[in-house]
Amino acid sequence: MRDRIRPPKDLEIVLDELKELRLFQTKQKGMMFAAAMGYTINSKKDQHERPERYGEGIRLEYFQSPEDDGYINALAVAAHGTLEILADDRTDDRFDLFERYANTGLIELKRRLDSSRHVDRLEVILDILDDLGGDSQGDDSNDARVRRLAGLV
Amino acid sequence: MNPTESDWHQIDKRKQQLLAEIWEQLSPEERDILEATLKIEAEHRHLLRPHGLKKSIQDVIKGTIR
Amino acid sequence: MILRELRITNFRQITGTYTIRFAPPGDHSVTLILGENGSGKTTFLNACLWCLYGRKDFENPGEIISHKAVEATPVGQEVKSNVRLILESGGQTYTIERSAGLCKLQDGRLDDADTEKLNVDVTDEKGVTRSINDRDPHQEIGLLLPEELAGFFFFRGEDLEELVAQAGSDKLKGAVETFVDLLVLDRSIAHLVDVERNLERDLKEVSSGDAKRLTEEVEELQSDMDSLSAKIAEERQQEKKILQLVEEVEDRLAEIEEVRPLVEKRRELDQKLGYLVERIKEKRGELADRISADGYLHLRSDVLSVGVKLASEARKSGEIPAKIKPQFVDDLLGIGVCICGKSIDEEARRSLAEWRNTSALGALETAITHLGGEIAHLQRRKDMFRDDFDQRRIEISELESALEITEAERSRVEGELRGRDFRQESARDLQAAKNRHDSELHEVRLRISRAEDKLAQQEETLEQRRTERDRCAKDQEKESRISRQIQAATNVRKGLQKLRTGWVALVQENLDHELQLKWDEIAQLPRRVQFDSDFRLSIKELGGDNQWRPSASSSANKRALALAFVTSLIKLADQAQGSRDGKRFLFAGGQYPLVMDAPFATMDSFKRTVPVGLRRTVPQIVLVTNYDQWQGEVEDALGIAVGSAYVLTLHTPKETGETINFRGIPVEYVAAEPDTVFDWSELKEIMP
Repeated sequence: MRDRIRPPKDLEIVLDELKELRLFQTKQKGMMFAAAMGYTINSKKDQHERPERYGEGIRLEYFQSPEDDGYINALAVAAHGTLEILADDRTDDRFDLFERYANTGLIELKRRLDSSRHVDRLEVILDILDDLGGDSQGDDSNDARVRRLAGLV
Repeated sequence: MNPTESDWHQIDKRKQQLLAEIWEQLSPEERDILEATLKIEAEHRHLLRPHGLKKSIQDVIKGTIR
Repeated sequence: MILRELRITNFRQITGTYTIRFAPPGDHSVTLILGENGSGKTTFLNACLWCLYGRKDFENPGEIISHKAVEATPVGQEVKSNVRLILESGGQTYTIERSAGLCKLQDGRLDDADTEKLNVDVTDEKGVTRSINDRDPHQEIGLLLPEELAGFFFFRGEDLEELVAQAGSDKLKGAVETFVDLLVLDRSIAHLVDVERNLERDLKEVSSGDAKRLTEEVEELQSDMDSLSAKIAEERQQEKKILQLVEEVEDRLAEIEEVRPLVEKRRELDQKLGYLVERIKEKRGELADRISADGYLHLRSDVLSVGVKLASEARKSGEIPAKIKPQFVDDLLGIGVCICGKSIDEEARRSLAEWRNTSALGALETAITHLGGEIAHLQRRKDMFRDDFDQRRIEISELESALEITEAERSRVEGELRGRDFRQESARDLQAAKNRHDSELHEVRLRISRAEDKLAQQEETLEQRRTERDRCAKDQEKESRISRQIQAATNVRKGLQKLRTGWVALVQENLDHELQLKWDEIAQLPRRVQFDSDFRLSIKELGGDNQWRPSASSSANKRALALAFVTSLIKLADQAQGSRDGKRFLFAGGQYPLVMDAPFATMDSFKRTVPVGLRRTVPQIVLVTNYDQWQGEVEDALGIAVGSAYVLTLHTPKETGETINFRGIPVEYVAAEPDTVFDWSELKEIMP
């Protein structure tokens, strides 16, 4: 049973860049954001590819200490639509799923970062949060949007 | 002036609190090393050019972490 | 430290032997020394500093002995200069005597042998005197008053202004650090750094493979970081130099009446811009940290809701909590016997297996409950993030708007200054110089910022390499041990560095607080004064728009501010003594006098209030000034507190004589001496 989550080798450079720019404090946090992005872009699990090669794994304890590991399980349940994915012997499946969503998220992150080299990097992340952020429930989302607009005028 | 009321006394107290916080974060061996280092340096502070203190501190570290 | 007596013999301009008995602390604690410009007022100050520290911060430092005394000495004989200072500290009396004697040569010159001698005697409360020349007398004097602090208690008026200038911050920082006495800490830190390096070298020798490679990388990184730190320090020095130049130009520009309001406005706007830029950077950093921690939860999805929904459905359908635990059924099927004792036949076995397949969730009950708790926690984080995120973005927006407005206004002011048809050419040149310096400053700051970012990255990489190296070394006993030793040394060193920074900050914050109180007491003007974490002194006043803005950088303001700082230091020194009694080698602290040469010269409106304020807070004042500056407000404030008074009578061929009136008694102030070759001075007591 695996105890590490592996970033895609060819996209590790994106995680490194985000960490060097202090946009994400660790590669683990970068992976969380990427996986959540991947799911938001497309929640259908079968449409996410595995990376061709994997980089050095991040130990599970690095997800546990900031209490982010619950999200990995919640993501797996949401993607499969069943609680049975929580079984002990399905740990590898959950990790695999997380890695695939993260792969999608990193591809999108790289595209956005590359296509706006002249833009402040924090602004790129803020644009992602504006484009893809908010609740799926209507009311909260509207509240948040109204608050943002109020800050601009 | 009553020293317990003075600003300097307050500064001294807070300095101590600061050291206590730092102490909390050190392991037992590191605490020993810190204590020994400060003692060695304080004992020899009167020397303009202290020789051999580095070696003494290094010996303490080697003796504490085996 | 309280001054008792000063005896001067043939020191610089002062020819002959004279003794000053200082007024002691109390109602009449002021010692007044009046002297015309050029009579040796600064010589008096220099005599004290030469006696204490051998300091010769004056023109022609090789010429200590009075020219007139040399002239009067026959060839082949020795002519001496001597200064003896008697002071009290900690219940003991110190007699500090420094002398220099040189032989007069045929051609009237003096031989150039180094004959300076220092003698320090200490008399205790019982009257027993001992010489401390067998130990280091300089160190003994340093305990009374470290040389780094002497300038705060013995100074000329113009020296005060330097404390408030850009370049003064280094001196003020040095003063605080000396005050705090960081010798033990600094040496500990420096030695631990060396020990870490030694251990790294040891590790390199015993390690192999990846551990060795990583150790070499660590060494290389440390070397790079050292070079980078040195480069940053150089650039910071350069930054300070440029800031000093900018300040000088601005001071000169401000003197030019026609541009003063614009220059002051521009300065105010520069400060505001600096503040806004820092705040925005700070806020953006905080925002990035929040996004890093919980930003992923903000992305739109049903990740948190699906699990909750499924768990709820499972509860509604009765799948959980399982009435019979699937594990229990598994165990029964394994044994083949029911709890009632009956054998489980094929049909029962089939039913149980069927039930078992439809109740898979029972086995996951713990995991599902755990997930519920985790999701609830994540949901709370998500909600908090949302509110926090919006609020922070609003704050940044507001700051950016303010920045834009301030930049626009600064552009306008700058445009007005640049486009101005200055009547005085000097104003144009000064403005051009300022523009050049601003440009250079921008470049230097950019380089510093890049270098600091690089250093921070290298620090992180260093930590990573060390962690990787420690992991590699784990299996090798010797390597592992040395690794742990390095880690321990590093942790202790970092702890001490944190203590150092924190402790200095405590004293700086205290002085900042005390500064305002002292200012209110001695200046009695509504100003906001500050001693900030960069060890800079500043002064602000309330503008017409009710905003605090920097006060005019006048000589009077600077002197008053510096005096407020010095009196804050005096108060702290007095308190420090109580806690340092019995500790042999610390700066003893205690009461301190102020020995001031022409401090009130340019103080205009402060002349009435500052002397009164000083009298209240300083235990002993020695005031060296000319008669014009004494008369009027200063005399009104301090006259009543004068305990002893002297005049330095200037003998000169250049002027006609002058007599002054001190408390109704005529006193010779300047003596015309057409036959004398040199100016020389003598000291006379005019009030016992």
